[in-house]
Amino acid sequence: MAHALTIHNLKAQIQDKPILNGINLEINSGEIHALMGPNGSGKSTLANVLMGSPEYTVTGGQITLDVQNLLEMQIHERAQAGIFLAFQYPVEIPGVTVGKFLKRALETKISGMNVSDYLKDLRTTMDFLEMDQDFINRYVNDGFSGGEKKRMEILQMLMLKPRFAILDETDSGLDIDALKIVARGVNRARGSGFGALIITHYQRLLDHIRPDFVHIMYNGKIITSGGEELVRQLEEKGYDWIKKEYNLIEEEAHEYSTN
Amino acid sequence: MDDKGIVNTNKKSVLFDYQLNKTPKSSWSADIRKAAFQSYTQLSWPTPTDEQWRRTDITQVDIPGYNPFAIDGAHEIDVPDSVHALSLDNIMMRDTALFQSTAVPLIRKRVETATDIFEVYNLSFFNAGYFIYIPENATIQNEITIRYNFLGTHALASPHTIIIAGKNSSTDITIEHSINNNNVYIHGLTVFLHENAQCRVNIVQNISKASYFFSTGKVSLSSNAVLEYFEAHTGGSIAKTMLDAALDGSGSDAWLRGIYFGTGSQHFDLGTIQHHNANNAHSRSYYKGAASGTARTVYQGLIEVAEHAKKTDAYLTNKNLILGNTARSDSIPSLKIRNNDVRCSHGSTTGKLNKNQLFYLMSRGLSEKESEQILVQAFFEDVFSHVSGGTADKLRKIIREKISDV
Repeated sequence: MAHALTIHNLKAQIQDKPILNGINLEINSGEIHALMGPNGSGKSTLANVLMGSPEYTVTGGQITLDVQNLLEMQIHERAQAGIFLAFQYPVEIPGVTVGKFLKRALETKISGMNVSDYLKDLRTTMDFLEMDQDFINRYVNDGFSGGEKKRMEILQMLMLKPRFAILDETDSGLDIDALKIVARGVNRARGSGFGALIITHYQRLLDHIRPDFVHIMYNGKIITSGGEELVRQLEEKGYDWIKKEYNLIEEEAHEYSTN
Repeated sequence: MDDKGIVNTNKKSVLFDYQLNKTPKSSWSADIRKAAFQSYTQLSWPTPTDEQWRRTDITQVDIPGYNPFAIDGAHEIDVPDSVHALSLDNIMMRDTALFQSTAVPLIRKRVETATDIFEVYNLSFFNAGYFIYIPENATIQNEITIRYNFLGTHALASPHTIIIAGKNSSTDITIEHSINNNNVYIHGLTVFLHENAQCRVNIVQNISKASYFFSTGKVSLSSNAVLEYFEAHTGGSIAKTMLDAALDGSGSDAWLRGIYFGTGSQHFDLGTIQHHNANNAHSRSYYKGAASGTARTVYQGLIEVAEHAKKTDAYLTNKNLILGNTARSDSIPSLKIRNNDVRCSHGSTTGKLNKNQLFYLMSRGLSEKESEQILVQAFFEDVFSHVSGGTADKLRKIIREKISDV
């Protein structure tokens, strides 16, 4: 079944500082959207606001998943409705094992889950992501390397089978081999029942996950959208080209680029 | 047992005569009780002006008003055949030579040196208890479990547990405390580890929420003995404990670990002493507590090093988790060090649940309540990793249930 995640004129701030200044974006099932933009443009804020992070205050606009108003839903309700966030900095949770945590997370979506099927699925998915099975009994992200943490996010995404996944700079800090594995995971999820918003700085992840749509974000707004060609243009000409192209005020650019 | 009428005369003394009459005259226990009672009459119940009791006010609890003869219960001990284990009732009826030669001198010494009213009360009025003797060189594979299960109404349970671990022995003992209704529970613990003995002692205190728990424990470690002590406190309206681990032999090693979780208006005040009386000894205290509602927790940890206890290595850690805005935790570490050739230090932290961890768990579909539950349990996991699987699972369940009440 096809679903739609729709963001309309979304405005949000942290403390008193506005970060999102009217975001419009529609992601349908089956589509991969890439969101690019310089540091401080508000990409991670958008990811966190979509998931319902209490750090941010939404000051205007709507987010809907089909007919559901996401902004009225709690974090776990959004997750249960099919939203998934792969965190830029996954937090370490000593004392909670990966195996038990994922089992509970799945049980919130599937009633009467079969434990042996779950373990089989988990082991197969770990093999696919070239992860050691020992991770099942390790504490969530505790003592993991940067690459292992990112793989753990992708593992969770594949296990939880969300309708829409937001990947917040999952490629940052990854070597090329880890990057390929992350891409493999996303490409596996790709299909008619899955949509994604991939937030990244660089072209390289998008060489492995080819997006259907590309959006450039600047100063809390999406300033232009297009297809894959936009990634190449950006890579060749840099963000300065975007600034000139769209007459963005240099002073603002400076302010945000130092954040 | 109805003791009305006695109350108006000299209650303390009349009650005691009664207890003494129940004890066979020839018994070792009569002497012990008499001597302990002597000290008891000279001590008074603590008030907040006593330093140790500054944070725990029990002046509203009329302890002598709880009847030590109205207590009932069904206690159990699971113990392999190779271990000598006897209930104190049994020993009082027929003195055993082993008990006379090993345990009585220890208890007598406790009576002579006791300064704590709970300690002498327990030794005057003990109304249950077990004596466990691990023979020399014995390795006990199975866990030994004592389950004190008291029943009463406005009654007073006063069990005493004596553990003697022979030279080179190895054992793992769990003591579970339980009492119903609104009662008082005073536990006395005496542990003696001979040379090279390795002994784990796990205390699980989950008495009824309306009852009061007090415990005084004394452990003595001979040369190269290793103690792994663990205590968990989840029950009781007030629980106040003191565990004094005396590293009397050189090269001995004491690990004291504890968890406590106060909900509602529970009040816990736990104390430990790492008492270094010999050289080259090592000790660690590691206590972790959580508090919610209007609960209050206190941990008072002391490292005391004698002048001749050179090369002492002692550390004390206390970590507290506060849930909500009305709970309170106090951490009171102190050091009394009488020589310079030591490595002693302490560290404590107090904090709330980590918001990023909560967000992470919730982002995977777990409700706020369940996420909190998982994080509180996770907080205690590093301590549980040192406890047997059965005890850890039992405590995980108690903690989950307590969080659901919050």
